[in-house]
Amino acid sequence: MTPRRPNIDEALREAAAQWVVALRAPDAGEAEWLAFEAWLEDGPDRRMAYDRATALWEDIDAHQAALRQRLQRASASPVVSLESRRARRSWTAPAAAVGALAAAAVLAVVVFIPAPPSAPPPSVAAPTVYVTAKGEHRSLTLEDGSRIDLNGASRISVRFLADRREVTLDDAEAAFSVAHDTARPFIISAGRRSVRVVGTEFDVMRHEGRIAVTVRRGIVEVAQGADAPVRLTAGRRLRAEDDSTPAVIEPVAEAEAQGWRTGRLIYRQQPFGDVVSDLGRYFDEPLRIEGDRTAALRFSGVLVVGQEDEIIRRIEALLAVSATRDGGAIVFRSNDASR
Amino acid sequence: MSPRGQNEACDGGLRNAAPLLAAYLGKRADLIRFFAARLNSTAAAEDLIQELYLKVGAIDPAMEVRNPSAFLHRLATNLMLDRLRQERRSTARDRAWEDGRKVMLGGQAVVDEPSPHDAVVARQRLERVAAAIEALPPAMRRSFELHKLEGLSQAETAKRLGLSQSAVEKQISGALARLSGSLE
Repeated sequence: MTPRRPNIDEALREAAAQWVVALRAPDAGEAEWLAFEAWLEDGPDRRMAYDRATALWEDIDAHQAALRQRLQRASASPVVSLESRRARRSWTAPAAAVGALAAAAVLAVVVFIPAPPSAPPPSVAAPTVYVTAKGEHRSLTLEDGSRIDLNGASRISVRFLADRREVTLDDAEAAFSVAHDTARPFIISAGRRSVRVVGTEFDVMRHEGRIAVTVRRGIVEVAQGADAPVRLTAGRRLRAEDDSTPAVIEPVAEAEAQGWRTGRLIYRQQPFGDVVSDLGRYFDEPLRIEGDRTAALRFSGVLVVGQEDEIIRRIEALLAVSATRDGGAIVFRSNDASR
Repeated sequence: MSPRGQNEACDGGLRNAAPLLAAYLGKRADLIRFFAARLNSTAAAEDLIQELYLKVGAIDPAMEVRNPSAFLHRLATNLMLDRLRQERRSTARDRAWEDGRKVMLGGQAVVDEPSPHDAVVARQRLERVAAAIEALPPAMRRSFELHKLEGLSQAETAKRLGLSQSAVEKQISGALARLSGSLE
C-alpha cells in the first residue's frame, strides 16, 4: 500500500505462498529447510515475498474468529451483498459527479433500493453493533472520523469495508456527520431503503417501519427506483410511512431538525396539546386528547424521542393524565374526572 | 514479521570466528522464517534461534561440519522439539481486530467507542482480508476457509472435500497468493 513497497510479481507471490503452506506441513524437515534456503538465496525479493505471505497467513490465524464471523454473516444475508453490488453499479456515475462537487462543499446521494420481498433484515451483515438503552444518548466516533449521535433505544450496526462504509439501522434514531470519502461511500440501510452519502450532516430515523431523513448541511439527492432523483436541501426532510409507500419531502424547522442532536424533546410550561401534536410525528399510532381542558394542561418535562411507551409513562408521571389504547389510537384523558 | 537485522550487524565481527557461527549468522533470519512456520509464531522462533546461538557458540570451533545449514537445522529442530514438549499449551493470540473493549449490553455484544489508531487500522485490515477472501474462486475459498478459519488440517480438509491432499495444498497456497496479491 505504501509507495515504498515494491510490487511482487504473481509467480513470486505464488511460490512464496507455496512455501508458507509447505513449511507448515507436519512433516516439513531438513530436506524442506535446505530447499527453502536454496529458494530464498535466489534473491532478496523472495525473502520479502515470503515474509509478506507469512504476515498475512499469521494475521488470518490471529483473527480467525473475527473473520469467520464476518464471512458467515455475509453469506447468511445474500440480499445485503446483492444490494451492495447493485448499489455500486448504479452509483458509478453519481459517484464520479460527487467527487467533483464534494470538493467544493458537501453533497450526498440518497438512493432507495427496493429489495426482494423475501429480504431478511440487513442487520445480520454488520459486525459491530451499537446499542443504546432507553433514555441513553450516545455519541460515537467511527474509525473514519464520522460521527453518529444515537438516540435512546437505538440499535445500529456498523461495518467498514474496503470500498464502502455500511451502517444498518435496525431501529434507531441517529444523527450522522459523515467524514468525506468519495472512495468509500457511506451507505445507510434502513429497512429496504438505502441512504448513500459521501460526506454531509443529516439525520436518519427508522422506527417501526417509518423512515425519515433530515438534511442539516449540504445537499442530498434522492432517487427511488428508476425515477429521476430529487434534490433534498438543508432544512428539508424526506419521510416515508413504511418501506413500500412513496416518500414525502417537507420543510422542517431548524429546532426540529436539531432535536435529534439532543435526542430529547424539552418542554417548559407548554400546552399539552402542542406536546401531543409534536409526538404525533414520532408515534405510529394516532394520538388523541379527550377534552379541551386536557389539551390546555401545561406540561414541563423532557421526553426522549423514539421510545413510545417510555414517553407515555413519563407523561403520566409528570402530568395528571392517563393514556389508554382505544381503537388503534392512544387517548389521553385527564385524571380529574371533572375536567 | 521483522527479520531483526540488528543482531547480525552487531555480530558481524564474529563471522570469522568459526564456520558454523558464520553460517548461523548468515542464515539466522532464514532459520527464523523456517521455524516460525513450524511453530506458528515468530516470537517463539526468535527465542529458539537465540537459544541456538548459545548452542552454536558452545561448539568447538575446530569441529568440522560438512553441511552447516543442515546441521543448524538439526540443532534447531531438537531445540524446537524440546520446547514443544515443555509447553504444549497454545498461546491465545491477541484479538486486536475484535477490539478488546467489548461489553455486553442487553445480551448483545457491544463494542465501545472505536478505539485508538491501531485498532482502527486492524479493523480496516480485517475488512479488506474478508473482502479478498470473498473474492476468491469458490473451490479455493472453500479449501482455504476450512483449513484456515474452521481449523481443519490439510488432510481433514481434503477428506471433507473429497480431494487429494496435494490438491488441497495447492488451493490453499493459491488462495494465499491471491489474497496477498489483492491486499498489496
